[in-house]
Amino acid sequence: MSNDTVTITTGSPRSSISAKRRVTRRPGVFVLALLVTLLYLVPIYWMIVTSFKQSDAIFAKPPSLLPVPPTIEPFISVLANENLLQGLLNTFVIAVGTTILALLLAVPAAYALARVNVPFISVILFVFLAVQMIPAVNLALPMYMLFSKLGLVNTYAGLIIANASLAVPLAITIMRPYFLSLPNEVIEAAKTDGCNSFTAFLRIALPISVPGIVTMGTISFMGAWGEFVFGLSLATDVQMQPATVVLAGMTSQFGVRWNDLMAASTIVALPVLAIFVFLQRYVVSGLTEGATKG
Amino acid sequence: MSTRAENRAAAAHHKVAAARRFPNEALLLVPAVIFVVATVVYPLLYNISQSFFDIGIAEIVSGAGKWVGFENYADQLQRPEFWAALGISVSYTAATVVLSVIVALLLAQLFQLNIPGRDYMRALILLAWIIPTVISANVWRWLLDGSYGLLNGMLRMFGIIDGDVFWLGEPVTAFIAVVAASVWTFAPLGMILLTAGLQSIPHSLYEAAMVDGASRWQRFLNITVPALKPVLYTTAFLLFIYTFKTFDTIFLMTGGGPGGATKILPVYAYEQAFIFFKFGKAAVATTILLVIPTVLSILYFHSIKKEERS
Amino acid sequence: MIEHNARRRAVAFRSIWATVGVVGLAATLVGCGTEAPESAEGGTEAPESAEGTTISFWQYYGDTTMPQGVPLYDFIKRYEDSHEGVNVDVRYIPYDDFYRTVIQSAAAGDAPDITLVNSLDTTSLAQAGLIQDLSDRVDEWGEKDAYFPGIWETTQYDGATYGIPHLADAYGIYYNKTLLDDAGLTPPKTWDEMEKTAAELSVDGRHGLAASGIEGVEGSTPLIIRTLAEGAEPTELDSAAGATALDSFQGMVDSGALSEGFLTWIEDDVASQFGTGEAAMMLNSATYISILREQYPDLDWSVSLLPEGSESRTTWLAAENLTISASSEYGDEAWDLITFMQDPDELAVYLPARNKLPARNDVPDETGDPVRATFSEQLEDSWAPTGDMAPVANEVFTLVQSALQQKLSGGDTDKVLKDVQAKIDEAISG
Repeated sequence: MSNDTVTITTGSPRSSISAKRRVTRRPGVFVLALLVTLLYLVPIYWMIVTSFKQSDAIFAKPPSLLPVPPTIEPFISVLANENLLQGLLNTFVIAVGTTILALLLAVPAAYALARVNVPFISVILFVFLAVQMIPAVNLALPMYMLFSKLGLVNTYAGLIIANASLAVPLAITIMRPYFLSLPNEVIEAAKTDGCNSFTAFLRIALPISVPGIVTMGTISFMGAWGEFVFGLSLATDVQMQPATVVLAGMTSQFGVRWNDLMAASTIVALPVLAIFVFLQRYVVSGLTEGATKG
Repeated sequence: MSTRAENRAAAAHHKVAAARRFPNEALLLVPAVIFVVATVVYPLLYNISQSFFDIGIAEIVSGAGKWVGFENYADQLQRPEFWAALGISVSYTAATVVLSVIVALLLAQLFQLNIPGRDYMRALILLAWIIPTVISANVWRWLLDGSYGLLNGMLRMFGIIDGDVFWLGEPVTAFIAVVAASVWTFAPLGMILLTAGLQSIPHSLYEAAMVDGASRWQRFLNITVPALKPVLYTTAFLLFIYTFKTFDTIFLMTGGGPGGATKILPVYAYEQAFIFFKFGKAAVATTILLVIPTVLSILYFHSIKKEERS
Repeated sequence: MIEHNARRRAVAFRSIWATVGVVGLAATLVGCGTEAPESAEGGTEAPESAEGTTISFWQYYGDTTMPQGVPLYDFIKRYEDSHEGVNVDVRYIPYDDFYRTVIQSAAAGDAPDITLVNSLDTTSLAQAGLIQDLSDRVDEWGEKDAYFPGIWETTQYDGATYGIPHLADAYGIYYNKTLLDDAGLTPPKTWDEMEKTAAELSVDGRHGLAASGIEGVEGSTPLIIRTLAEGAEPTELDSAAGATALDSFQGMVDSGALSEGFLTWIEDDVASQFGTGEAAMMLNSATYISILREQYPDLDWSVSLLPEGSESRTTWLAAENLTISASSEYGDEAWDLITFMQDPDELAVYLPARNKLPARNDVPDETGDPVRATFSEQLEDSWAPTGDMAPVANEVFTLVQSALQQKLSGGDTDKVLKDVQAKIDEAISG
């Protein structure tokens, strides 16, 4: 997943749903769905299988669908590579930092954009939408020059800020529908009870939107985990590079050692896959909110 | 009313009026706005300004470029390679979006039926979108390897091909390969979006149509598609701007080759900047890269504003 | 009363929030900047540590876990051990990112003291003013004449010396003895023979010859070598020589001698094609000597000189030069390390481990390895870009590869050559 997804609101109110779902008992459809799913997963399956193959099995013609005999040698040699381990640590720090920074900036902003109605707002919304279209390539070099003046090159702070620049606009668009659905009366009631705008936001709005925050946090984290271009441009020191960049570098270093490369890929992909498995319903609901809610 | 109540009402009215003039909540917006302006808008403007200077290695190091006005633009717009890159960007994006939407729609329809384990299957398919593109690009390269790749292994087994076929080595097949890899990544996202849209179509419409004797295809064409229009537009728009700016996948799969057959504009710009060190000219490519999505999003934004108001 | 307080609270809230926001943001920027791990950001501000000075050294060979990297680290360690008070901070940057990173760092004022740079890129760095003029040091040192002239040329720009050659590499033809013997063939001595021999060896799904023809500089090597063999330099691609060369590759692909896949292969891929027996011969550099020995110990192979064309059998010279950054404050210390690395006896130990060849003519070959001897012999006839081509070498070679690509995609020889020649001319003049 790239960090550059855009979610928009269509504005059409959700029509009435609650249709009685008929459970399909046709086994044919089930089998079809299963086959489609399995077919779709072939690349991921192949990545994992290759990671367990011995080097000569890589060059077997025809390639075997299962690693026979299986070996964990690729994983061992890859994990012995300090650069990859350092890269994973870097990615972790960057992803966590990005998520926190995005949270701090985007949640209040989404709240404001949902509740305030000033002419400015259209422009601001448009800008937040528009910046999501900018390819990282446009920003890489200027950001490098800017960051080097500020001493942010090859620092966690620099990479966190760069990743957050991608995450914040997206996060705002994800969170906004959640705040839009917050009834006005609740906030007004809080205010007459003595809350000011800020505490109303903090004490009332936030707790209600925890699902949205989890969604936004998950998507930001996963996006930062897979980010490549900024990592490539803003971290010239191998020690600071995120795992994605280390992995790309390994491509030329490993040449044709596909089993090692796939093992490294599996290791880098694992955390994101694991997080997704646990939090997938938040991710899915976040995306669907964006698509259908006004 | 007592005076105190009058005062209170007046003050409350004041406060609301004041809030409308300058609401406190708006301040919550400030940090994010400053942040985005500093980290995105400023570099963007800097990048655009670079396109008006002649900047090579020496100038990047010294920080001083020579002003050349529109010379860089004139130079780039005269080059067939530039137009080729732009054309490839558009065709790659269009092909990917169209195919992704079709695949997404088929998947969404398939999973509309209440099959056991449906949610799990959808989540598994979504993995394709979750996985970092750096990784999926490499996996595709390996799958498509001419001599030892899985695809060729399978094709050889069924006798469809003979010997090695180098998918990424021929211009046409390389283009198809990167489109396929991109569709694989994006279709699941589309599937999720379209699923939400499909779920909001009232079942009664389908029941009524079935009573009228409409076939499945007719039901699809006359009920599903029109009802899905807004979501389809959103999905297509989203996928378009996302695909248009994609860099990782093509950069890692083909590097823009073979012979520039997959050299989309972002890759072209990267090459100009970081391989040939012509930063001013690269900035022309990146600036023009923004035109199409900008136009599209203005159009799109207008249409949702219109809908939101209605 | 209440609303009065509320309004006051509102005002206070606004100013507090605004302040907090600004301060918080600033604190994040400043505070986080100091959390970074100790990554050496460059040598120009290298601190005087307790043990003395530290000079930074950037290279693209490999790191301490890679076989191409270890010999260099060992070499530098030998220097550190015999020179108290000097630390050398070696940084590995993968080749694809190397040049870009050097430029970016120079732009940020973080250039290293020593850059081990590709001979192709030396001139453009000199032209951009990023590396120091070493002419005076070289004159004082007096060992210039020990270097092979072709290699020394790559350090020259505008009449001055900007680098010291570190090592060299040449291309040759590796051949599978078993396969050739079984077919009753001997290694080809001319390109005409090569075309025949390779075609004869292309049976049972195997190909006679493998080479790296991938997009970019790396894949331009075969065409350049072939063109040189016909007596023309890459800047004269549109010539009888260029046409012969281009048609020769088309012929080899048509006859099956050369797999079409070669346009997608890097040199590592070529080595694995050869090692697994998929190709009977390969055009590759000395780098793969020990790699073949380690990964394919059962393979019976040897190396022969490049085949002759109608004019010569010149090899492409792959070399690296040691350069000192213009902004370095440790020029003397850097020069000391560089001269240490030129000592013939030291090189006699380092080069075989590194699988490379000497750039000087006075390095004793203590290995007795006939394969290395063949490469050394080949090196005597080598070519590297000079003059006007040197600063734009990257671009020119990328264009050369594109000529090969276009021809093999069905282009017309004359048209392709004219096309590419025009672009080459433009690159050189622009």
